[in-house]
Amino acid sequence: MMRRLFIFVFSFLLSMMLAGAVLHTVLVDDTLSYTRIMLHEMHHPAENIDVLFVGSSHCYRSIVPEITDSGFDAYTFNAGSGSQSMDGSLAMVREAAARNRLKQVFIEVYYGVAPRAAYRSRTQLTGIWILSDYLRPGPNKASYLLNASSSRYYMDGLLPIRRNWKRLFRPSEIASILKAKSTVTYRNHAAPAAEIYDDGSVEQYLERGFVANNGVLRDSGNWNDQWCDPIEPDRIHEDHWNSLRSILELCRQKGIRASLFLTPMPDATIAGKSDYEKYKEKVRSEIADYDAELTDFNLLREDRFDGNDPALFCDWNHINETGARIFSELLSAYYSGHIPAQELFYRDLEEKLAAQPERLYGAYLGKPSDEGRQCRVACNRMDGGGTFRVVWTAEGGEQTVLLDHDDPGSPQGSFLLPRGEKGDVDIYWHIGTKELSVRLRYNDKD
Amino acid sequence: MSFNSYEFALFFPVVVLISYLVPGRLRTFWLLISSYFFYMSWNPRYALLIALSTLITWGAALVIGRLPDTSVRARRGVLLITLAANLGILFVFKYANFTLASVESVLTALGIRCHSVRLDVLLPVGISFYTFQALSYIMDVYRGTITPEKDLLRYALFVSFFPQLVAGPIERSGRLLPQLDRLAGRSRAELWDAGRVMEGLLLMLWGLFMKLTIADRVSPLVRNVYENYHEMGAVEIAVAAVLFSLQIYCDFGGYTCIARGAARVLGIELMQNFRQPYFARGIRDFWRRWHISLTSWFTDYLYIPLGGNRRGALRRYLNILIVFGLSGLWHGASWNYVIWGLLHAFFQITEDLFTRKTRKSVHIPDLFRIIGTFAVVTVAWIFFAADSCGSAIGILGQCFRAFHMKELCSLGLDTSAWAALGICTALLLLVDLIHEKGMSVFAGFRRIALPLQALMSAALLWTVILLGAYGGSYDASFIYFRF
Repeated sequence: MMRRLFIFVFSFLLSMMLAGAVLHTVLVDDTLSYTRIMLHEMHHPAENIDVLFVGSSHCYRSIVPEITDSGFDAYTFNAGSGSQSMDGSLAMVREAAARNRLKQVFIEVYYGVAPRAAYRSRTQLTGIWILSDYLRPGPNKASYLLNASSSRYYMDGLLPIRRNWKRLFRPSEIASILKAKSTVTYRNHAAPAAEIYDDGSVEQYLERGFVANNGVLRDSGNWNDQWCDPIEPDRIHEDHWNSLRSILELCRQKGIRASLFLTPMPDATIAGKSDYEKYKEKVRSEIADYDAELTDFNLLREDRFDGNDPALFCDWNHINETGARIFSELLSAYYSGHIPAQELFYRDLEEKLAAQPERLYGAYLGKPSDEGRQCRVACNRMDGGGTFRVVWTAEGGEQTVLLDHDDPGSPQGSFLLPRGEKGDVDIYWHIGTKELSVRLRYNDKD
Repeated sequence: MSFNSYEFALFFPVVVLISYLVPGRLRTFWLLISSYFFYMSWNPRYALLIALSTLITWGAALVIGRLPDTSVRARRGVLLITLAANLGILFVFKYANFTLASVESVLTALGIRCHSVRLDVLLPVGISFYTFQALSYIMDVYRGTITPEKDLLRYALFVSFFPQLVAGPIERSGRLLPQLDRLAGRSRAELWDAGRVMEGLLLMLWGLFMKLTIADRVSPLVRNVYENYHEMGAVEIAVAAVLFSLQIYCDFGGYTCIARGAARVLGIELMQNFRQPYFARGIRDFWRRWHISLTSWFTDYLYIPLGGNRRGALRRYLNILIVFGLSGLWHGASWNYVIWGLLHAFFQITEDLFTRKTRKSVHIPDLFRIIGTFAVVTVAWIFFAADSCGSAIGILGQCFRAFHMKELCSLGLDTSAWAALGICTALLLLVDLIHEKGMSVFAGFRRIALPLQALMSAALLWTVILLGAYGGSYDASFIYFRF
């Protein structure tokens, strides 16, 4: 009886594992995954990882390990990933610390990935799974998955093949996957081929987590629907801060130096955030019990890193490869003590913007309503400084003045655009003796 | 704690392991506290009601057992008080608000103004099931078919045995109590039967297959069509109706398989509750195959005491109407369930009349009888699935009003989901067909080589894992838990 039981159990487990392996091979398309390569490199580093960077896409696009290697005179590793939230960063620190004697950890703290709700209420879990799929089986992976969502998503988190079950009925996709997985590149965990976007920019995974993008910001006048969204740091959920403190506690226990940082973003992106400094105060207050500092690289002086130079950014959030190389040098030099803070940074955002000449970025495109779209001018003197005139030219040529300099609301720069129309918006900013202008193309029709 | 939850996946192995390790009498105690823990995971206060029902029926059975057979009035009195008490509890928690709402509707229709009164009560999960199980016990004691159970722990376990507590099968004391008695007396070596355990686990897996890959897969489409029936055409409604027939069978049948499988692992055989119901060749045959435990309960404790078919055709038809009307009401405190039950009564009466008239003259091939039965059952299910009688009538009416057709993949299932559903339904049909032919899938399974058994089990498990409709976007609760 026991012999029969043993045969059955052994055969059952073997069948499950073999079937699982086959299904994983045919159903899961990770041939273009960056995190698969990154975590493979983390699990098989060329040397002991001394310095670790964790964080969101702001991290993986901004830290060039070959530069930080020489800057820190150490072996550095960029463990950032797309939309990596703080529990993901904790998992990455634990993963790296398990097999490396880390000396220093840098935690990127972009406000955009800080959640307003508990981890367990998450429904979008791609940012979780791109890490968990490649973590080594063990307590770290289990803890990450169990706490990252409600139990409804446990199976999907544990088994990538479950998320891709529909592929069972798409044989052409299976064929493509098998073809891609049979290549030497895939089998050797080499970086996938560069991705070319519609605008011609090229993105490529280089090494140790760094992803280079050679795109540049093309429009200086622009619509952006996030510039003036407040950060609301008090609404960031306690789970986020708990994860951050867990990282710092782990570092403290293991004698690892921990530092927090913000990567440079275009000035336009943060100029409209009225509570940007409040966010940093919140971060500092949450980590007050730990010996860790937050350094904001958005306060870099223009002669070091120009937040208005479109050649340094690939989009309104991320620096490109050129910007990453400059930033990595500066970061390394600063943390190595080679450049004092006063030479690098402004005191705060207000000082930085005040030191600049007036700039008209474009306009914040508000959410649609029955009345229209409530928009707001975006510039580097958001609170006071001048008046605005906004002229709407409809597709047929009819012009309407939506806001004029002598209107009571002009200094706030708010105006209402019609729904379902197409045309041009000319914004004129009168400030002191200067008049700046920008033309934006508006299309709410197509 | 539902059978298809992670909590149950942790709970069940622990219960089994400790049940195997502890000695006899402790086993009964262990299973009892496990059952109460299982039940209280829904709401701890539910335990009070089931405990009350248990104590009332246990105590009453002992009293009846002590009374001499000649004390007919006293015995009947105790029985009636017990029935009243248990049915009273059921009435308060399940039917009070329905009754109050119905009376209010009638008074309003008569032009009499009245205050709207409702009780603030939650419907305890499984109350309909365990109440009927306890009542069957007291009635069996009254009839003298069984002797009263003196052991309170064993009796309490009979009422609350967790595999069948919340959605049946409604076991008879004559079947379950002796098994619980024998279970307490079995040694660990006797209890540990690898073949029985594997069969039990396989049965549970099959139940999960039915529930997750079929019932839960079709649920979004059925819900979408029935909730938006005004926008649907006859084809969509027909598709949803057929799929609901499949859904409720796989939901309830799946639950029963899990219940029976779990009980089998623990060493208990629960009765079969479904026997390929959609292969029925008539309504009467359908009710010999569907929710067998409830059908036999109503037959033994209501239909036959009312006279059954011993008092002429008219009385028989009246009895059928009463039994099915009450059966509908048992399913839910709402008029659409009563109508559902009465529809079945109507179908059965019609079938009986037709059979009497055409006994020797018309031969209808089995396939047509099967399809015909499935069709009428499916139509009746519309009343079961709808929110109200009005909705059910509206849904049926829409079939005669609207003949446009939406794309099937826009109703709630995409191409892949339809494909998965097709494959799983085909497998279910195959298994049911094998059973319908009198063969046993289990018996055949046992005859094949162990590695092949293991491979097929693994294939079934992977099918459930991959093709099961569970996760963030699915409502995974069992339909019959609402009763």
